Amino acid sequence: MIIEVRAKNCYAFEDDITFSMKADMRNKKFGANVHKENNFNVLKTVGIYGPNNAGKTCLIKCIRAIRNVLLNKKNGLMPNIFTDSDVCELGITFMASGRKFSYDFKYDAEKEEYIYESFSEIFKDQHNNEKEVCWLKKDTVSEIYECIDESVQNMISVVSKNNLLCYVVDTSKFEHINEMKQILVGFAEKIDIINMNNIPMQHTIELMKNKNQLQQKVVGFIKNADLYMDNFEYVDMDKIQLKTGEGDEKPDEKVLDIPENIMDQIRLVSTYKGVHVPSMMFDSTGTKKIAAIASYVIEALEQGRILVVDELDSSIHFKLTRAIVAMFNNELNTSAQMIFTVHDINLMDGKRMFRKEQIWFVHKDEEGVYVYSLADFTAQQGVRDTTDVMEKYRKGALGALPDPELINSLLSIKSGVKGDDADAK
Amino acid sequence: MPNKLPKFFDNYKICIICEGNEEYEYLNRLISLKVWNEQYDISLVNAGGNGNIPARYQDRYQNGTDELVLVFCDTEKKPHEQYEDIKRKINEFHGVDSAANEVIIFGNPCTMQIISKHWTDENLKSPAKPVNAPLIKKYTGVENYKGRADQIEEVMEYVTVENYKDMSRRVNDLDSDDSVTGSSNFGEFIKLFESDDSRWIEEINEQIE
Repeated sequence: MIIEVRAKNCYAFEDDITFSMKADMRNKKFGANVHKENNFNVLKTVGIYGPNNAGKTCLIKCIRAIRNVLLNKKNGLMPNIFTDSDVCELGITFMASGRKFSYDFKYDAEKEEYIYESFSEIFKDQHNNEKEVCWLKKDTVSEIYECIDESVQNMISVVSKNNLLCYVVDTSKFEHINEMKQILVGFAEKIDIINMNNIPMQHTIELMKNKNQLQQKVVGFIKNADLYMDNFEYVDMDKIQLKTGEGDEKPDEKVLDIPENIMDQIRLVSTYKGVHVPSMMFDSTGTKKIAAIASYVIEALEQGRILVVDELDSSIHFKLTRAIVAMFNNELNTSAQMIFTVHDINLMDGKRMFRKEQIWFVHKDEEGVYVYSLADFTAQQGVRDTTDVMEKYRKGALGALPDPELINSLLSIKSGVKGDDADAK
Repeated sequence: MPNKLPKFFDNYKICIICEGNEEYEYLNRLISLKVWNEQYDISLVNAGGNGNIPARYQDRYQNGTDELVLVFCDTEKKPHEQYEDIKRKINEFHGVDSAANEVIIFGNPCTMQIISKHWTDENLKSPAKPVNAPLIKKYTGVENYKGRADQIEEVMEYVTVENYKDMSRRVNDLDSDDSVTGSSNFGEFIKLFESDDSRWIEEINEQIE
């Protein structure tokens, strides 16, 4: 589970930002929304609000970059365009097997070098105070090198900087560095990142191909979503009955129209009142998106994965979005986590749905980009447990609210309506 | 370490659609002088002409950002055709016959009727700028006032916290019937903008809903 994401000079974030999923246990409300393990308390879900183009997706890009770095994939990191520095800084604190770890790195995007990395384990003592034990610290700028494996410490300064240390040395020879790699890779492999505007159906198709328990659960999820659907299945080609008429029927979503996947997709069949139809052609965009996300949700809940969703409410009814979040918040979910960006303020519900620290905002103004949670507001600033958050946000008292002036476009189009110039009198 | 929060205000949001530069700059000056109760966060929109007022008003109202949307315009000369047209459109928009009376701040025959009250009791009878130019010159020194941006800016320097009180008193004495030449309801709104009690916002909204 993710506990904290830190970023500086990455994408939209010029100054350092901290996105925390730590639960504040002074707040007793909705205790089931918190995963509690070994005295560590982590939020099961967090929703991120903000205007378009403020930086919500950049936060998700930071998580993706961290995951890719840890999995030795192309990181896609970009420094903020308003700074001169090429050095992107990212960090993550997370839970793995009941233990808390912290990993930070600095990446020089120009030289494509990892100039800094550090990995620590965080313990809690009997007084609940946290204590950090450093496993690795490689600071090539200040030339500080530390490693829990002494034999590694001597070689850190000479190994290549074009990748993380654990990918440039044979870790199997070093006990702790090997364990560190397993912890980091194991954590990163648990993260799924999807964009609801562009969600691929392939993941659901792959699960549907296997007639196992997981496949049944995915089908159950889709049927339980109340889409008036009797069944949803992946059928053999000989069972496909195409009655699409004369029209050039194609799915509206470009992503679902990839040629190599089309044969797989055509085998997804929905059943309505006993009539079987190809889902890709007959189901609504929202239904297809539910089917596409179903596999990610089921896998996350079943295997304790971390699901990061951009624009969760895209094409999906607010009741359904809410129901998905409620599944993750539920006491029966003991290990899965969901982080999502969303525009639908129906979800911004501090009375029945979220603890204050589960509602986050990304706000942009001339000074920069701000990332903060509802919990950062004090009672003096008018935010209490009983506050109508939706109303407060709508009013603009929490920031992260666009103020469109589209009327100017209308007046420009209909310029004949301009009327007398008040100053020309 | 707590996250850095952006600056924003949890005040009552009131938007005033101003007919043009003169209305906009005048209210902007009063806002900058902080003569009104600080619980009201008053934002201004320059409609750029009275023909745009109904569209701007409807847009701002339906966007839902503000708790109250008002209009600040003049009536011009009788028969106040354009002013009546604004009132009719606002009434039709709300489907309430007297909605416009609740949300329009007017100066009859012109906004200078209100502005000049900062310096004199004299009532303006004509909206024509050439007619009023000598009076403006007398109190501000601005010659040949035609409502140019630089002239408005210069005139606004003569609007002060001190003479705001004189203006309040003088505007209060004006007739508030918009059909009467030399009238204004600005005095009523001044009392509301100065008020500690914000219930009047809800009361106006109830009248127009």
